[in-house]
Amino acid sequence: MLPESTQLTDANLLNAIARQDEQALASLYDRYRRILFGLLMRMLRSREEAEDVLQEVFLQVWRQAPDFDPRRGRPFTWLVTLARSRAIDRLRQLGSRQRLASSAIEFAGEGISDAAENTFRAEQRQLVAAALTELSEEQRRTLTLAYFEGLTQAEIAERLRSPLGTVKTRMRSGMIKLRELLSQKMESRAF
Amino acid sequence: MTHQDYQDMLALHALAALDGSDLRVMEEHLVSCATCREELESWHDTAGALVYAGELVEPSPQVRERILEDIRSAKKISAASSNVVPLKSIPRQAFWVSRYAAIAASLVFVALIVGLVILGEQNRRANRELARLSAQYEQAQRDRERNQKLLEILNSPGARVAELAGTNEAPTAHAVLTYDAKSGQAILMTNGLPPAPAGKAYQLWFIVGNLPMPGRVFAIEPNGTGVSSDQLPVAALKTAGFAITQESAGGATSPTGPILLRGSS
Repeated sequence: MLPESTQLTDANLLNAIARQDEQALASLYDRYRRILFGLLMRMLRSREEAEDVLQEVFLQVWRQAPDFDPRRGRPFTWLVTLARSRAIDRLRQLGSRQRLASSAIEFAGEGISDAAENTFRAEQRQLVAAALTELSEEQRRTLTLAYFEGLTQAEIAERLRSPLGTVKTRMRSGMIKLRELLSQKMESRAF
Repeated sequence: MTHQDYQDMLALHALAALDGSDLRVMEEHLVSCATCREELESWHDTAGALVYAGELVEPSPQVRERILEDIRSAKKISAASSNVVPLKSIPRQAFWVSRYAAIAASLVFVALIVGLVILGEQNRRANRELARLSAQYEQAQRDRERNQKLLEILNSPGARVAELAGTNEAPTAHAVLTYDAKSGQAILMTNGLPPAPAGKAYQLWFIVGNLPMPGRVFAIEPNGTGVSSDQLPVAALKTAGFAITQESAGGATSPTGPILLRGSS
Protein backbone atom coordinates (compact mmCIF):
# COMPACT_ATOMS: atom_id res chain seq x y z
CA MET A 1 0.00 0.00 0.00
CA LEU A 2 1.27 3.46 -0.90
CA PRO A 3 1.92 5.92 1.89
CA GLU A 4 -0.99 8.35 2.43
CA SER A 5 0.93 11.30 1.05
CA THR A 6 1.34 9.66 -2.36
CA GLN A 7 -2.27 8.60 -2.68
CA LEU A 8 -4.75 10.57 -4.74
CA THR A 9 -6.45 13.34 -2.80
CA ASP A 10 -10.21 13.37 -2.36
CA ALA A 11 -10.39 16.22 -4.89
CA ASN A 12 -8.38 14.14 -7.39
CA LEU A 13 -10.77 11.27 -6.93
CA LEU A 14 -13.83 13.48 -7.40
CA ASN A 15 -12.34 14.88 -10.60
CA ALA A 16 -11.83 11.34 -11.87
CA ILE A 17 -15.36 10.36 -10.82
CA ALA A 18 -16.68 13.34 -12.76
CA ARG A 19 -14.97 11.74 -15.78
CA GLN A 20 -16.92 8.52 -15.11
CA ASP A 21 -13.97 6.67 -13.56
CA GLU A 22 -15.47 3.71 -11.69
CA GLN A 23 -12.19 2.86 -9.97
CA ALA A 24 -12.03 6.37 -8.51
CA LEU A 25 -15.48 5.92 -7.00
CA ALA A 26 -14.42 2.55 -5.60
CA SER A 27 -11.34 4.20 -4.05
CA LEU A 28 -13.38 6.98 -2.46
CA TYR A 29 -15.80 4.37 -1.14
CA ASP A 30 -12.96 2.28 0.31
CA ARG A 31 -11.52 5.37 1.97
CA TYR A 32 -14.67 6.53 3.76
CA ARG A 33 -17.08 3.58 3.89
CA ARG A 34 -16.52 2.77 7.56
CA ILE A 35 -16.73 6.31 8.93
CA LEU A 36 -19.84 7.06 6.87
CA PHE A 37 -21.43 3.72 7.62
CA GLY A 38 -20.74 4.27 11.32
CA LEU A 39 -22.56 7.59 11.10
CA LEU A 40 -25.48 6.06 9.20
CA MET A 41 -25.75 3.12 11.61
CA ARG A 42 -25.85 5.51 14.53
CA MET A 43 -28.53 7.64 12.88
CA LEU A 44 -30.70 4.88 11.44
CA ARG A 45 -30.10 2.02 13.93
CA SER A 46 -30.63 -0.50 11.17
CA ARG A 47 -27.93 -2.20 9.11
CA GLU A 48 -30.31 -2.68 6.19
CA GLU A 49 -31.41 0.96 6.12
CA ALA A 50 -27.86 2.22 6.67
CA GLU A 51 -26.49 0.10 3.80
CA ASP A 52 -29.33 1.28 1.61
CA VAL A 53 -28.53 4.92 2.33
CA LEU A 54 -24.77 4.37 1.96
CA GLN A 55 -25.44 3.00 -1.52
CA GLU A 56 -27.64 6.01 -2.35
CA VAL A 57 -24.95 8.41 -1.14
CA PHE A 58 -22.25 7.02 -3.42
CA LEU A 59 -24.64 6.89 -6.39
CA GLN A 60 -25.38 10.55 -5.69
CA VAL A 61 -21.64 11.23 -5.61
CA TRP A 62 -21.36 9.51 -9.00
CA ARG A 63 -24.10 11.70 -10.46
CA GLN A 64 -23.13 14.98 -8.85
CA ALA A 65 -19.32 14.84 -8.92
CA PRO A 66 -19.25 17.02 -12.07
CA ASP A 67 -21.10 19.73 -10.11
CA PHE A 68 -18.82 19.63 -7.08
CA ASP A 69 -17.01 22.93 -6.63
CA PRO A 70 -13.87 22.58 -4.45
CA ARG A 71 -13.91 26.34 -3.81
CA ARG A 72 -17.14 25.94 -1.86
CA GLY A 73 -16.00 23.23 0.52
CA ARG A 74 -13.95 20.14 1.15
CA PRO A 75 -14.86 16.83 -0.49
CA PHE A 76 -15.10 15.04 2.84
CA THR A 77 -17.42 17.71 4.25
CA TRP A 78 -19.57 17.31 1.14
CA LEU A 79 -19.67 13.53 1.56
CA VAL A 80 -20.66 13.75 5.22
CA THR A 81 -23.30 16.38 4.45
CA LEU A 82 -24.75 14.17 1.71
CA ALA A 83 -24.83 11.17 4.04
CA ARG A 84 -26.51 13.07 6.89
CA SER A 85 -29.01 14.67 4.55
CA ARG A 86 -29.96 11.31 3.06
CA ALA A 87 -30.21 9.73 6.49
CA ILE A 88 -32.45 12.53 7.78
CA ASP A 89 -34.68 12.10 4.72
CA ARG A 90 -34.86 8.37 5.43
CA LEU A 91 -35.67 8.98 9.10
CA ARG A 92 -38.53 11.25 8.06
CA GLN A 93 -39.79 8.68 5.55
CA LEU A 94 -39.70 6.01 8.21
CA GLY A 95 -41.34 8.30 10.74
CA SER A 96 -38.88 6.89 13.18
CA ARG A 97 -37.91 9.98 15.10
CA GLN A 98 -40.47 9.20 17.76
CA ARG A 99 -39.45 5.55 17.73
CA LEU A 100 -35.96 6.66 18.63
CA ALA A 101 -37.26 9.04 21.28
CA SER A 102 -35.73 7.22 24.19
CA SER A 103 -32.65 5.93 22.48
CA ALA A 104 -30.30 8.90 22.73
CA ILE A 105 -26.74 7.83 23.20
CA GLU A 106 -23.69 9.78 24.13
CA PHE A 107 -20.70 10.48 21.94
CA ALA A 108 -18.38 7.55 21.88
CA GLY A 109 -15.07 8.43 23.40
CA GLU A 110 -13.27 5.72 21.49
CA GLY A 111 -13.92 4.18 18.13
CA ILE A 112 -13.35 0.66 16.96
CA SER A 113 -9.68 -0.04 16.83
CA ASP A 114 -8.66 -0.85 13.31
CA ALA A 115 -5.11 -1.23 12.13
CA ALA A 116 -6.11 -0.19 8.65
CA GLU A 117 -7.26 3.23 9.75
CA ASN A 118 -4.64 5.69 8.68
CA THR A 119 -2.80 7.83 11.19
CA PHE A 120 -4.24 11.12 10.02
CA ARG A 121 -7.86 10.09 10.52
CA ALA A 122 -7.04 8.36 13.81
CA GLU A 123 -5.54 11.60 15.03
CA GLN A 124 -8.61 13.56 13.97
CA ARG A 125 -10.84 11.16 15.87
CA GLN A 126 -8.78 11.68 19.01
CA LEU A 127 -8.85 15.46 18.62
CA VAL A 128 -12.61 15.61 18.14
CA ALA A 129 -13.18 13.29 21.08
CA ALA A 130 -10.90 15.48 23.23
CA ALA A 131 -12.65 18.67 22.09
CA LEU A 132 -16.05 17.24 22.93
CA THR A 133 -15.00 16.52 26.49
CA GLU A 134 -14.42 20.24 26.94
CA LEU A 135 -18.03 21.12 26.06
CA SER A 136 -20.64 21.29 28.76
CA GLU A 137 -22.94 18.30 29.19
CA GLU A 138 -25.87 20.36 27.86
CA GLN A 139 -23.93 21.45 24.81
CA ARG A 140 -22.80 17.88 24.04
CA ARG A 141 -26.31 16.60 24.52
CA THR A 142 -27.95 19.04 22.08
CA LEU A 143 -25.24 18.53 19.47
CA THR A 144 -25.58 14.75 19.81
CA LEU A 145 -29.31 14.86 19.28
CA ALA A 146 -29.01 17.15 16.26
CA TYR A 147 -26.06 15.46 14.60
CA PHE A 148 -26.56 11.76 15.24
CA GLU A 149 -30.33 11.60 15.49
CA GLY A 150 -31.18 14.28 12.95
CA LEU A 151 -33.50 16.13 15.33
CA THR A 152 -34.43 19.75 14.70
CA GLN A 153 -34.23 22.46 17.34
CA ALA A 154 -37.95 22.18 18.17
CA GLU A 155 -37.72 18.37 18.43
CA ILE A 156 -34.71 18.66 20.73
CA ALA A 157 -36.56 21.17 22.91
CA GLU A 158 -39.47 18.73 23.15
CA ARG A 159 -37.20 15.78 23.86
CA LEU A 160 -35.30 17.59 26.61
CA ARG A 161 -38.37 19.48 27.84
CA SER A 162 -36.34 22.69 27.60
CA PRO A 163 -37.37 26.08 26.22
CA LEU A 164 -36.64 26.43 22.51
CA GLY A 165 -34.52 29.53 23.09
CA THR A 166 -32.35 27.66 25.57
CA VAL A 167 -31.80 24.83 23.13
CA LYS A 168 -30.82 27.23 20.35
CA THR A 169 -28.35 28.99 22.65
CA ARG A 170 -26.78 25.72 23.81
CA MET A 171 -26.36 24.43 20.29
CA ARG A 172 -24.90 27.64 18.98
CA SER A 173 -22.52 28.12 21.91
CA GLY A 174 -21.53 24.45 21.62
CA MET A 175 -20.73 24.81 17.94
CA ILE A 176 -18.76 28.01 18.51
CA LYS A 177 -16.73 26.38 21.25
CA LEU A 178 -16.19 23.25 19.18
CA ARG A 179 -14.94 25.31 16.26
CA GLU A 180 -12.53 27.20 18.51
CA LEU A 181 -11.25 24.03 20.14
CA LEU A 182 -10.75 22.22 16.87
CA SER A 183 -9.02 25.23 15.42
CA GLN A 184 -6.65 25.38 18.37
CA LYS A 185 -5.99 21.66 18.44
CA MET A 186 -5.49 21.31 14.73
CA GLU A 187 -3.42 24.50 14.53
CA SER A 188 -2.68 24.95 10.86
CA ARG A 189 -4.18 21.64 9.84
CA ALA A 190 -7.63 22.26 8.41
CA PHE A 191 -10.61 20.04 9.07
CA MET B 1 -34.46 40.45 11.32
CA THR B 2 -30.87 41.76 11.27
CA HIS B 3 -27.93 40.26 9.42
CA GLN B 4 -26.46 39.21 12.77
CA ASP B 5 -29.65 37.21 13.45
CA TYR B 6 -29.04 35.24 10.28
CA GLN B 7 -25.38 34.71 11.14
CA ASP B 8 -26.42 33.42 14.55
CA MET B 9 -28.53 30.73 12.89
CA LEU B 10 -25.81 29.46 10.51
CA ALA B 11 -24.27 26.98 12.95
CA LEU B 12 -27.66 25.37 13.53
CA HIS B 13 -28.38 25.33 9.82
CA ALA B 14 -25.12 23.42 9.24
CA LEU B 15 -26.44 20.81 11.68
CA ALA B 16 -29.75 20.71 9.74
CA ALA B 17 -31.40 21.63 13.04
CA LEU B 18 -33.40 24.66 11.91
CA ASP B 19 -37.09 24.18 11.33
CA GLY B 20 -40.28 26.17 10.85
CA SER B 21 -40.00 29.86 10.09
CA ASP B 22 -36.30 29.92 11.08
CA LEU B 23 -35.50 27.47 8.29
CA ARG B 24 -37.65 29.33 5.77
CA VAL B 25 -36.14 32.78 6.41
CA MET B 26 -32.61 31.33 6.54
CA GLU B 27 -32.99 29.66 3.15
CA GLU B 28 -34.47 32.80 1.66
CA HIS B 29 -31.62 34.89 3.05
CA LEU B 30 -28.93 32.52 1.75
CA VAL B 31 -30.16 32.97 -1.79
CA SER B 32 -29.07 36.60 -1.75
CA CYS B 33 -26.21 36.69 0.80
CA ALA B 34 -22.80 35.47 -0.38
CA THR B 35 -21.23 36.28 3.00
CA CYS B 36 -23.55 33.92 4.82
CA ARG B 37 -23.17 31.21 2.17
CA GLU B 38 -19.41 31.33 2.69
CA GLU B 39 -19.78 31.33 6.46
CA LEU B 40 -22.14 28.36 6.20
CA GLU B 41 -19.45 26.32 4.44
CA SER B 42 -17.16 26.98 7.40
CA TRP B 43 -19.86 25.73 9.79
CA HIS B 44 -20.33 22.66 7.60
CA ASP B 45 -16.66 21.87 8.21
CA THR B 46 -17.18 22.07 11.97
CA ALA B 47 -20.34 19.98 11.82
CA GLY B 48 -18.61 17.51 9.49
CA ALA B 49 -15.85 17.01 12.05
CA LEU B 50 -18.43 15.56 14.44
CA VAL B 51 -18.53 12.45 12.29
CA TYR B 52 -15.18 11.53 13.86
CA ALA B 53 -16.96 11.22 17.20
CA GLY B 54 -18.82 8.23 15.80
CA GLU B 55 -17.56 4.70 15.48
CA LEU B 56 -16.13 2.94 12.46
CA VAL B 57 -18.44 0.22 11.24
CA GLU B 58 -17.79 -2.07 8.29
CA PRO B 59 -20.66 -2.38 5.80
CA SER B 60 -21.19 -5.70 4.08
CA PRO B 61 -19.06 -6.28 0.94
CA GLN B 62 -22.26 -6.51 -1.12
CA VAL B 63 -22.81 -2.73 -0.78
CA ARG B 64 -19.66 -2.00 -2.78
CA GLU B 65 -20.67 -4.51 -5.42
CA ARG B 66 -24.17 -3.05 -5.68
CA ILE B 67 -22.83 0.49 -6.10
CA LEU B 68 -20.48 -0.55 -8.89
CA GLU B 69 -23.19 -2.59 -10.60
CA ASP B 70 -25.56 0.38 -10.42
CA ILE B 71 -23.13 2.83 -11.97
CA ARG B 72 -22.40 0.39 -14.78
CA SER B 73 -26.14 0.11 -15.42
CA ALA B 74 -26.44 3.90 -15.29
CA LYS B 75 -23.69 4.19 -17.87
CA LYS B 76 -25.52 1.80 -20.19
CA ILE B 77 -28.81 3.66 -19.76
CA SER B 78 -27.06 6.95 -20.32
CA ALA B 79 -25.54 5.62 -23.54
CA ALA B 80 -28.90 4.22 -24.64
CA SER B 81 -30.65 7.54 -24.05
CA SER B 82 -28.08 9.49 -26.06
CA ASN B 83 -30.71 10.16 -28.72
CA VAL B 84 -32.06 13.01 -26.61
CA VAL B 85 -30.73 16.51 -27.27
CA PRO B 86 -27.02 16.33 -26.33
CA LEU B 87 -26.56 18.12 -23.02
CA LYS B 88 -23.15 19.45 -23.99
CA SER B 89 -24.71 21.30 -26.86
CA ILE B 90 -26.59 23.60 -24.50
CA PRO B 91 -23.70 25.96 -23.80
CA ARG B 92 -22.95 26.09 -27.51
CA GLN B 93 -26.55 27.01 -28.15
CA ALA B 94 -26.38 29.70 -25.50
CA PHE B 95 -23.20 30.93 -27.21
CA TRP B 96 -24.91 31.06 -30.56
CA VAL B 97 -27.87 32.84 -29.02
CA SER B 98 -25.53 35.63 -28.03
CA ARG B 99 -23.81 35.49 -31.42
CA TYR B 100 -27.11 35.82 -33.22
CA ALA B 101 -28.08 38.63 -30.91
CA ALA B 102 -24.79 40.38 -31.74
CA ILE B 103 -25.38 39.86 -35.45
CA ALA B 104 -28.88 41.18 -35.04
CA ALA B 105 -27.52 44.21 -33.19
CA SER B 106 -25.03 44.91 -36.00
CA LEU B 107 -27.79 44.61 -38.57
CA VAL B 108 -29.83 47.07 -36.60
CA PHE B 109 -26.98 49.55 -36.89
CA VAL B 110 -26.72 49.04 -40.65
CA ALA B 111 -30.48 49.12 -40.98
CA LEU B 112 -30.52 52.57 -39.36
CA ILE B 113 -28.55 53.69 -42.36
CA VAL B 114 -30.18 51.72 -45.18
CA GLY B 115 -33.76 52.01 -43.95
CA LEU B 116 -36.32 51.01 -41.38
CA VAL B 117 -37.77 48.25 -43.55
CA ILE B 118 -34.59 46.18 -43.47
CA LEU B 119 -34.24 46.84 -39.77
CA GLY B 120 -37.68 45.46 -39.02
CA GLU B 121 -37.09 42.32 -41.06
CA GLN B 122 -33.75 41.57 -39.42
CA ASN B 123 -35.20 42.09 -35.98
CA ARG B 124 -38.02 39.71 -36.68
CA ARG B 125 -35.59 37.05 -37.91
CA ALA B 126 -33.41 37.47 -34.85
CA ASN B 127 -36.40 37.24 -32.54
CA ARG B 128 -37.66 34.10 -34.25
CA GLU B 129 -34.24 32.50 -33.97
CA LEU B 130 -33.96 33.52 -30.34
CA ALA B 131 -37.40 32.11 -29.59
CA ARG B 132 -36.54 28.84 -31.38
CA LEU B 133 -33.27 28.45 -29.47
CA SER B 134 -34.92 29.34 -26.17
CA ALA B 135 -37.58 26.69 -26.74
CA GLN B 136 -34.89 24.16 -27.68
CA TYR B 137 -32.95 25.00 -24.55
CA GLU B 138 -35.99 24.65 -22.32
CA GLN B 139 -36.84 21.31 -23.93
CA ALA B 140 -33.27 20.10 -23.33
CA GLN B 141 -33.55 21.15 -19.70
CA ARG B 142 -36.81 19.22 -19.30
CA ASP B 143 -35.29 16.18 -20.99
CA ARG B 144 -32.28 16.36 -18.72
CA GLU B 145 -34.39 16.58 -15.57
CA ARG B 146 -36.59 13.71 -16.73
CA ASN B 147 -33.62 11.50 -17.59
CA GLN B 148 -32.02 12.34 -14.26
CA LYS B 149 -35.15 11.35 -12.40
CA LEU B 150 -35.50 8.18 -14.45
CA LEU B 151 -31.92 7.23 -13.60
CA GLU B 152 -32.53 7.89 -9.91
CA ILE B 153 -35.58 5.64 -9.95
CA LEU B 154 -33.81 2.89 -11.89
CA ASN B 155 -30.85 3.13 -9.50
CA SER B 156 -33.07 2.89 -6.43
CA PRO B 157 -33.22 -0.44 -4.56
CA GLY B 158 -37.00 -0.49 -5.02
CA ALA B 159 -36.92 0.01 -8.79
CA ARG B 160 -39.86 -1.60 -10.63
CA VAL B 161 -41.02 -1.52 -14.24
CA ALA B 162 -44.64 -2.22 -15.21
CA GLU B 163 -45.87 -2.49 -18.78
CA LEU B 164 -49.33 -1.25 -19.76
CA ALA B 165 -50.85 -2.74 -22.90
CA GLY B 166 -53.52 -1.09 -25.05
CA THR B 167 -57.07 -2.42 -24.70
CA ASN B 168 -59.50 -2.76 -27.61
CA GLU B 169 -60.12 0.97 -27.20
CA ALA B 170 -56.48 1.73 -28.10
CA PRO B 171 -54.94 -1.48 -29.50
CA THR B 172 -51.72 0.13 -30.75
CA ALA B 173 -50.97 2.02 -27.54
CA HIS B 174 -48.24 0.94 -25.14
CA ALA B 175 -46.83 2.40 -21.94
CA VAL B 176 -44.12 1.72 -19.39
CA LEU B 177 -44.39 2.85 -15.78
CA THR B 178 -41.02 2.97 -14.00
CA TYR B 179 -41.27 3.51 -10.26
CA ASP B 180 -39.51 3.17 -6.94
CA ALA B 181 -41.53 0.85 -4.73
CA LYS B 182 -40.01 2.50 -1.66
CA SER B 183 -40.44 6.22 -2.34
CA GLY B 184 -43.31 5.94 -4.84
CA GLN B 185 -41.59 8.21 -7.39
CA ALA B 186 -42.69 7.21 -10.87
CA ILE B 187 -42.27 8.12 -14.51
CA LEU B 188 -44.82 7.08 -17.14
CA MET B 189 -43.82 6.87 -20.80
CA THR B 190 -46.55 6.23 -23.38
CA ASN B 191 -46.52 5.56 -27.06
CA GLY B 192 -49.23 5.21 -29.71
CA LEU B 193 -51.93 7.38 -28.14
CA PRO B 194 -53.35 10.22 -30.26
CA PRO B 195 -53.22 13.76 -28.81
CA ALA B 196 -56.32 14.30 -26.65
CA PRO B 197 -59.05 16.58 -28.04
CA ALA B 198 -59.36 20.15 -26.74
CA GLY B 199 -60.47 20.21 -23.11
CA LYS B 200 -59.41 16.59 -22.58
CA ALA B 201 -56.28 14.89 -21.24
CA TYR B 202 -55.10 11.40 -20.40
CA GLN B 203 -54.96 10.33 -16.76
CA LEU B 204 -53.11 7.54 -14.96
CA TRP B 205 -54.91 5.46 -12.32
CA PHE B 206 -53.55 3.25 -9.54
CA ILE B 207 -55.92 0.41 -8.77
CA VAL B 208 -55.63 -1.15 -5.32
CA GLY B 209 -58.11 -3.96 -4.89
CA ASN B 210 -61.03 -2.60 -6.86
CA LEU B 211 -60.42 1.01 -5.86
CA PRO B 212 -59.03 3.33 -8.56
CA MET B 213 -56.84 6.08 -7.12
CA PRO B 214 -56.17 9.07 -9.38
CA GLY B 215 -52.74 9.80 -10.79
CA ARG B 216 -51.76 12.85 -12.77
CA VAL B 217 -53.12 13.95 -16.14
CA PHE B 218 -50.69 14.17 -19.01
CA ALA B 219 -50.54 15.32 -22.61
CA ILE B 220 -49.39 13.55 -25.75
CA GLU B 221 -46.84 15.15 -28.06
CA PRO B 222 -47.64 15.43 -31.79
CA ASN B 223 -45.31 12.45 -32.39
CA GLY B 224 -47.55 10.23 -30.27
CA THR B 225 -45.33 9.97 -27.21
CA GLY B 226 -46.02 11.20 -23.71
CA VAL B 227 -43.89 11.45 -20.57
CA SER B 228 -45.21 12.24 -17.12
CA SER B 229 -43.88 12.19 -13.56
CA ASP B 230 -46.15 10.82 -10.89
CA GLN B 231 -46.25 9.65 -7.31
CA LEU B 232 -47.65 6.27 -6.32
CA PRO B 233 -49.97 6.36 -3.31
CA VAL B 234 -48.57 4.43 -0.33
CA ALA B 235 -51.32 1.82 -0.74
CA ALA B 236 -50.10 1.08 -4.27
CA LEU B 237 -46.43 0.59 -3.45
CA LYS B 238 -46.52 -3.16 -2.88
CA THR B 239 -48.97 -4.26 -5.50
CA ALA B 240 -51.39 -2.44 -7.74
CA GLY B 241 -53.00 -2.33 -11.14
CA PHE B 242 -52.44 0.61 -13.47
CA ALA B 243 -54.77 2.05 -16.07
CA ILE B 244 -55.00 5.04 -18.36
CA THR B 245 -58.26 6.75 -19.37
CA GLN B 246 -59.18 9.96 -21.11
CA GLU B 247 -60.73 12.55 -18.80
CA SER B 248 -61.41 16.27 -18.72
CA ALA B 249 -58.22 18.37 -18.88
CA GLY B 250 -58.30 19.04 -15.14
CA GLY B 251 -58.43 15.33 -14.29
CA ALA B 252 -61.06 13.34 -12.40
CA THR B 253 -61.29 11.84 -8.92
CA SER B 254 -62.71 8.60 -10.34
CA PRO B 255 -62.49 7.34 -13.92
CA THR B 256 -65.30 8.26 -16.31
CA GLY B 257 -63.85 7.18 -19.65
CA PRO B 258 -63.12 3.66 -20.91
CA ILE B 259 -59.78 2.07 -20.00
CA LEU B 260 -57.34 2.63 -22.86
CA LEU B 261 -54.31 0.86 -21.38
CA ARG B 262 -53.88 -1.44 -18.42
CA GLY B 263 -51.15 -3.32 -16.58
CA SER B 264 -50.10 -4.39 -13.13
CA SER B 265 -47.09 -4.45 -10.84
